[in-house]
Amino acid sequence: MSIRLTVFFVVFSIQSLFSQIDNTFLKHLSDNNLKIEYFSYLQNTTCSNDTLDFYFSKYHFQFGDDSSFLVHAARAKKLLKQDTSLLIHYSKHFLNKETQQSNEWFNSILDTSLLLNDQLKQLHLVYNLTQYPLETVELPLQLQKDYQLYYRATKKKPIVAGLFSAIIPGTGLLYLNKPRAFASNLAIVGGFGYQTYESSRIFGWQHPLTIINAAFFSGFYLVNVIGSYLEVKKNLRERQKQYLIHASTYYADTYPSSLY
Amino acid sequence: MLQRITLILILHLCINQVFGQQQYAVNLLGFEERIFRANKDTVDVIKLEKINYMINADSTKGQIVSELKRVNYSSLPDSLRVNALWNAALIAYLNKEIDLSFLYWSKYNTLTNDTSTQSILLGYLTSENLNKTINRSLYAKLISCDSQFVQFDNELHKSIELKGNTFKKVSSLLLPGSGLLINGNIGKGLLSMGLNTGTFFFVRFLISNNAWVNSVLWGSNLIGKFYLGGYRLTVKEIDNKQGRKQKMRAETSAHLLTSILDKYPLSLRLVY
Repeated sequence: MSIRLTVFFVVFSIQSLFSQIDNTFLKHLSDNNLKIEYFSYLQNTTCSNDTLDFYFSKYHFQFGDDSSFLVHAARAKKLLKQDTSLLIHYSKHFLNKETQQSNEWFNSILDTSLLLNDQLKQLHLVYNLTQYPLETVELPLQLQKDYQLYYRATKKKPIVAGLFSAIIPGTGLLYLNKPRAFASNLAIVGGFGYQTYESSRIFGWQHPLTIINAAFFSGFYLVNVIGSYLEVKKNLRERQKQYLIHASTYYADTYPSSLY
Repeated sequence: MLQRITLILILHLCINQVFGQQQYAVNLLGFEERIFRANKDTVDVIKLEKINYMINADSTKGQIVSELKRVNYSSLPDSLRVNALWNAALIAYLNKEIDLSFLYWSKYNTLTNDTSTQSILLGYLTSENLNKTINRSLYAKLISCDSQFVQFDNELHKSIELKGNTFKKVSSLLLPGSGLLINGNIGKGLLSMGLNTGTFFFVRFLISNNAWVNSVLWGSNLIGKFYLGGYRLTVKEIDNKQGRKQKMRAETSAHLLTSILDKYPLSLRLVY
């Protein structure tokens, strides 16, 4: 009986032993973009959960499922810690992704325990500047201009822009350093204002044309105030995006890395 | 006890085969493992085996084409290369990758100089927009086989450009709405005419009352909206009419092609 059981466990162990993950084969599957085969391989392999999560994170990363990637990467932190090149690869990817996922990568998964070299620390800092902007910071020359533009955008307050535009139409846009948009806004609202004044002078306030003109004027005036308020927020998002896009392009060349 | 253990072992080793849904993926993986471990001489043959399996397993054409692209056809033995290239050309054509299909067909044709109607037909279909000289020479061969190809080719090359499009556009600029009327859009044409006439009288009324700012602002707004809008609508309606004609041509061509393919079916060939 004991011999039989031993045979059973030996066969079981041998099968499991042969099921160890073959990294070069996975690289082959990855290079050839073989999604089905890659998934099937991982599904049918017996190994530790850490290892599986590590490779599943690579799988989801390559085949574009960022949320599943984050789930597996969070579970495979121990193994990720040993592969700083891969961490750099992932970090470069998340520099220019949707805010929620980038936040999760940089602030939840890539914590201080994983920031083991200068390149990783640099990428972490570059991203976190969008969360906690600093006036003076050491950045590569190529990124400084974009960062300064972004930093200045963080100092602009939407409510101030709205108030400016409410007092003199378009000045909220001037506050954002957009003189052309200011001029056109002022011309449009001013034009509608004068149009209303002219029709009231000629036809009187009760005339349908004056009422229509007044309605248009009020509408454009309100749009100008709300538009200036929203423009500040939009400007901030755009500056942030531009800074991160340039950072992503810059580090793609500066820190070469690959999935395998 | 031994029987039980044996059964458990068999079940453990063959667990993937038990679940049918996973079978396809596991088989693909099996092929890929063989490809990975194969030497230079046999690797492309195994890739062909994999493609054969994918065809039989009803994989999508896109998946099969991406496998076709991995094969190095020049390293295949001659006995396999001919049919493999034919299949590759046909599958790529069905997947609407015409450039790739023509490339495979050219290699196939260079290798075999196949004069069968099916081969000429596939070459003719794939070379349509890529190589006019080859296309015309293949067409000449096809019409010598069957006059049905003349009708198909005529339909394919028939001009679908509607006449008088420029006149309609100019007319729409000179007399707003008239371009739409000529194009057959009576309702929209009359509405455009009415709105433009209304704008004219409204602006005239403002000028006569010395409301200069109103006349300039309302005039520029309404002219932009109705006069230029009417012109844009005319261009759009002309394009729509053109699109309808193009769709009709495509349907007729497809119908003719179906009857040709019924007569000269293009089918996959056995590689083994």
